[in-house]
Amino acid sequence: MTQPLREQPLNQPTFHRFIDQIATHDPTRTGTVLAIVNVVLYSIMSLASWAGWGGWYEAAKTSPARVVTEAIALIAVNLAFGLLVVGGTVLLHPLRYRAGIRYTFIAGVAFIASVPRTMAMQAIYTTPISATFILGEWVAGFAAGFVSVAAGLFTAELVARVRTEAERRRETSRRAARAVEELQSEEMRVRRMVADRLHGTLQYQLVTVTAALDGIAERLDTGEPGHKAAADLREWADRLEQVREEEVRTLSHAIFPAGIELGTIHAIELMLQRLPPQIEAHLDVGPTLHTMVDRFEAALPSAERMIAIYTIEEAMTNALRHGGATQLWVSIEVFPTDDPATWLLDLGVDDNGRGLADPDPVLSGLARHNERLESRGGTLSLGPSVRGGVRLHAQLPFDRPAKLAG
Amino acid sequence: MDKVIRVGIVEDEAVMRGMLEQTIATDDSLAVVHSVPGVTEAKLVFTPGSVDVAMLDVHLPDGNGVALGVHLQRQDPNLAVMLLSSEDVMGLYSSVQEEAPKPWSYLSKRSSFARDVLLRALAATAHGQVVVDPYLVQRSEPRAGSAVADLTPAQFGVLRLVAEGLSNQAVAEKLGINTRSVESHLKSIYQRLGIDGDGANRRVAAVLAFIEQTGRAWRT
Repeated sequence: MTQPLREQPLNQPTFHRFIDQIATHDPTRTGTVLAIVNVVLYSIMSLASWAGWGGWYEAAKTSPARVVTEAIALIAVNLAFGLLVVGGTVLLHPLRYRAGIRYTFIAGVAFIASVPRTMAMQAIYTTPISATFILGEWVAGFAAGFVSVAAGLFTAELVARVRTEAERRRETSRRAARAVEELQSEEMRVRRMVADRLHGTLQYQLVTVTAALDGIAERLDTGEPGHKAAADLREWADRLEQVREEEVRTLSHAIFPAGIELGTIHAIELMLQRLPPQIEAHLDVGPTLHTMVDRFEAALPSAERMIAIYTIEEAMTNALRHGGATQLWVSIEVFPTDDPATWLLDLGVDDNGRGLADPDPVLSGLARHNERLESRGGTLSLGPSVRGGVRLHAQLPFDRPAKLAG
Repeated sequence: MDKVIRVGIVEDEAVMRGMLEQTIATDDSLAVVHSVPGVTEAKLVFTPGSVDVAMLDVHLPDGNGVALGVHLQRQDPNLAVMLLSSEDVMGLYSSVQEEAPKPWSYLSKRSSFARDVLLRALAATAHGQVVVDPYLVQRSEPRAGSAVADLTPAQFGVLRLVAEGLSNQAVAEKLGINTRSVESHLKSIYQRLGIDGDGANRRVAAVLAFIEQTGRAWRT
């Protein structure tokens, strides 16, 4: 049985923890915070340009108190302007739109908000007002507002992308770890089963045949006519044939399904043929898979083939053993997914048996198969079938074969 | 056929290969031209036109006899193929018929030890007939829900023997009826199985239907 994997403890610097808290998977929120940080920085930096324009000098001429008041007013106006651009942008839900539209929004908000800012600047400055001043303040305001917010959102988006990628990688490695564990436990199970059957059933059957042959030889020794023994010998030869066909074949199939190297469909057809003749069996190969096979392409990687074969086999065994079914319908098809590198295998086994006693069945015998499918990102479910009995439905993602890439 | 039938063997068990070679050597109308243990060697020596019948073991150490047969027959459409297997792989044999350019025969290893069965099957296969292992054929029963299951027991008995590769006359002798009734049985069999076409093709189609629509219960 696989053990639940424990999450790696987060042992990162405090700053990362802080970032985690303010911005769990919400790029808008991260972006807003970063934009505000930018706005604050720019508001403080704007003091430099004020001094450059001669604002400090002019104010100092009046009084030192005037310098402090003007500086505070300047920071306040720039902060108010910056927050206006941030707020305006957030209200428009910029991340809903693609990059081009998003940045046009921000530019628009900054463009408009820059007007009241310029007016406020005129009021604060004691320097003489000129066209150059108005144009300069307005362009500087617009550029500062746009860059602050755009940079914030852009960074937030990068962070979100990195986060998603890390998450995806963590999920992949978690799945790989489960698959390896599952593979190991499956190997142990098969080894155990093969050893048990070699020691148990097969050994016993062979001992029986040996003893019977000894018995016949003894009868011949004591002078029994040969033709009487011949009938017995034939019977035992048949018995050996059955041991070979049943025991030996079952064991070799458990280790490696017959015909699987030729392809999934061949192996399934072989399994269906092996069903007792009283069972009616139908195989429905979907058009996509059919086309692939017709083009001699190996549609499924061998690991997925193996899972498909054993899952179908288990479903058929259950249908016959527990459901008392006399008819089986097996369907198999492959589908492309949104990810061009991944395809989906779709399996269905329907029967006309007694159906499920429990509408929400415990998978018991199928649990192993379910686990194996899930560890590879697949699904398995049991439910009522339109054919009257049970329907097993399984889906399994697989890597698109290289040959199909062309 | 006056010409000697050239047989090529692909079998990994040396003892089994030797037995086949020896048995075939007892018949002057047959000659083993190649006898190799695996797919790799077979692909090298089975050049088109060098062999009439290829006897292929299903399980080979470096591949699969079924895939090998399809490969060889695509290279040489005149090549007749006989599959050899120790376990019941009728399902594989049946499903490969769609891919192979020409229908194959199938003999179990157990039957191949019987000289008459082996030599007769090889000759018939070389002449374009489909021969299915007599032991497996005798164990076969119609698959529920199939067209073969709708045949009468007498018709199914005739079809069984045809699948073994017997001629109408041989079928008649074996069943103790005359050749005409065998022919009339066959006519109804073709009709029930929905087979059209000319003589030889219809016979092969009926055998393929038999292979596909029967099963064997091994568990006792």
